[in-house]
Amino acid sequence: MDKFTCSALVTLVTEYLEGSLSPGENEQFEVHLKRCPPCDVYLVQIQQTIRACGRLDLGAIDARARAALMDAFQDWKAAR
Amino acid sequence: MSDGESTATATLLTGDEAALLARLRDGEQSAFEELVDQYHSAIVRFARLYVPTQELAEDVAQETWMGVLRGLDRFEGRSTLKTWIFRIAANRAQTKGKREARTIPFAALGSAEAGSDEAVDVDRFLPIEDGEHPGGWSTLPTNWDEQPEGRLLSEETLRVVREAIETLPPMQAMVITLRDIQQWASTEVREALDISEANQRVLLHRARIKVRRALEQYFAGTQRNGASADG
Repeated sequence: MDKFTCSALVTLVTEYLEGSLSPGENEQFEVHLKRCPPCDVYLVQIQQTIRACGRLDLGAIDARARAALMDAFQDWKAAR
Repeated sequence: MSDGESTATATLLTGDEAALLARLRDGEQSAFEELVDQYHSAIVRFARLYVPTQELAEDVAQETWMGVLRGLDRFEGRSTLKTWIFRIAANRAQTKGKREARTIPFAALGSAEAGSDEAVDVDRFLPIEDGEHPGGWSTLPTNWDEQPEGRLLSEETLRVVREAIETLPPMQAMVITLRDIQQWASTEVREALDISEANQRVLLHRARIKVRRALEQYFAGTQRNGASADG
């Protein structure tokens, strides 16, 4: 029996990817996925979203702030 | 951890962190550079949860590194280096945040977000009473692989992702930043932000769903505009 509707699957997608569904739920999730191409597309989209995030960076530290920190490191080293 | 109490080296440090820590204690500046380059921007982002301006967040990050240097010789590895650094950052940020009247209490931020915007994406589905396909898709998701070559990872797409994250509620933005941009493990995020596993997951879920939707809207828009938009 397919307990999961498509709308339910969408709400569980993060739990599925985090591995926090119970074994039974996990199986039902995957059964639904096999029978339902749109939900499979949705899961792939979420994975593609995660991959796109992984290509971002937060930007580098300002060069002057970095230099000030390295001076502080040398002071710390000297004072030990 | 099980019965490791008796061993002198009951440490949570990863091998990489232990090696880095040893180099720091040897006074190797390159080790400190690595640490700063790895975490500084994330600390600034983190501090913005507590303080009202970017400038104050930069101050918090600077103070955090001073705290790290001061505590380095006493650090016993009872948490990961990462967690320890972010605990120092949380302390500095809270202290500074309390001096700023406009700051919203941290815990309130997290819980308010966990309770709100429940109805994400529900408009995409048929009602549960639907005879044909209860709870099924009313608008099918389209396969992004059919996008023109390279579109999925283009600069433009990444800009859409970055902007979507910037418009998220602060805790959702923080969680997706640490998990999916910085690639932290869920336990690391949970410890750094002092939130429960479930809360972490809910915040991550909502964040990912909204970023996915932003991408979907972007792709749908560029598709409608057709070849002229690509040329």
